[in-house]
Amino acid sequence: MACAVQTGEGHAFDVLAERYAARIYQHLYRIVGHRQEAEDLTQESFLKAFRAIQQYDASREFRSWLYAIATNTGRNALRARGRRGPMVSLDGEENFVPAGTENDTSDAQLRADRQAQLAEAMGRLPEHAAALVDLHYREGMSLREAAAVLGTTEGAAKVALHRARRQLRAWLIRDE
Amino acid sequence: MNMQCPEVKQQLEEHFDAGETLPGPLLAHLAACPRCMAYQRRLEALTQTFTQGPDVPPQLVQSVIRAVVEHSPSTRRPFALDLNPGWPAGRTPQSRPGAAGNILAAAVALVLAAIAGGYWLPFPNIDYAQWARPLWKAVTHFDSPDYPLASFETDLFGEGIFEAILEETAAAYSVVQNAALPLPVSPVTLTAAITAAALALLFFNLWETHSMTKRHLRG
Ligand SMILES: [Zn+2]
Repeated sequence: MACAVQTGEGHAFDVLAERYAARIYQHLYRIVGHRQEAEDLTQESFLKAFRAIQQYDASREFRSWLYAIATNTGRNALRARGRRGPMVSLDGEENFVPAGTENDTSDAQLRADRQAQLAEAMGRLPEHAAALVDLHYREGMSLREAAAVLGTTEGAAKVALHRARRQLRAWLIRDE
Repeated sequence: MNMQCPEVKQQLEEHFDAGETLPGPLLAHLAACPRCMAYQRRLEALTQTFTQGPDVPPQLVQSVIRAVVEHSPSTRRPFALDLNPGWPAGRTPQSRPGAAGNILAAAVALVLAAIAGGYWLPFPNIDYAQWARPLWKAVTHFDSPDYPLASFETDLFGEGIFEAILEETAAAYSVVQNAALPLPVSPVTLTAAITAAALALLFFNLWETHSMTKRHLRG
């Protein structure tokens, strides 16, 4: 499909956008922690990818290539902004209440709340760690592929993921 | 209860990190310990949240495609006016208004110009000259010894103007044409014809570009 874009086939790019736009948005949201910014950065990432499509090496995984562009775009945005996403104290009421235990809260609302909590917690992690957690868990990348996207080694990624998980658990799960 | 709660918690975390199913002894502890069971369910919820990802704006794909179409350098078509929003390099639409479309537009413009200029009229049985006489009337003045200040008028569709000139020439010793034969088309008509041609080409391009962009964004 990426090759079809390279050779200028009409709807090839639209197909790529349909396949990846939502996932790239979710990735960027996890990095920058802000919906509108994530949407803008998604457009920016696709624009960069489209402009650089001739440089894409078809022997590589297209997904890795696109995610590398998006991750860099997100990191640059954070650097331009000077800091990570909105810092909200997680020491208050936040906790991962399992679904079904609060009757007055719908499942959809509960999921949205959890996503917001996670976004806040992700904002406290180093940016590469947030990207790593997302690539591994949501995108389902192996540590090796995720490490390649982030330009690091598999070993370093393994250590970083372990730390990030421990940190997120400490912030988001209170043992009662 | 063989295992202590802190040990169970740690093992639960390790199993979640590794994505493994829980072994029998852990399950047995959970069944008997509400506190560890609650912790296990929170771990599950957290892992699920990692995996699910946040909600996505509904128009995201369209906005991405539009951003790419709008911000990419245009690829000029060989004959068309450069009025399209710019097809990015390498992203040529499957159909585009090319030479054929422009030739068609030019032909339409030519017909319009011919009608406006009076060179060609559809339905030759209609006496256009009758109702359009003031526009097409050509007045020519001659000056000769036998026919001082002879003048006649003709029109482009009845007696031909050249035929009239020949008749007068035969009857006169010398014929001096002291008024230049008017252009078959007046400057106003000519301007109107050119404008009509340009507008036809312009509208054809705009219309086709618009419908192509719509098709493209929809597809
Ligand atoms: Zn216990």
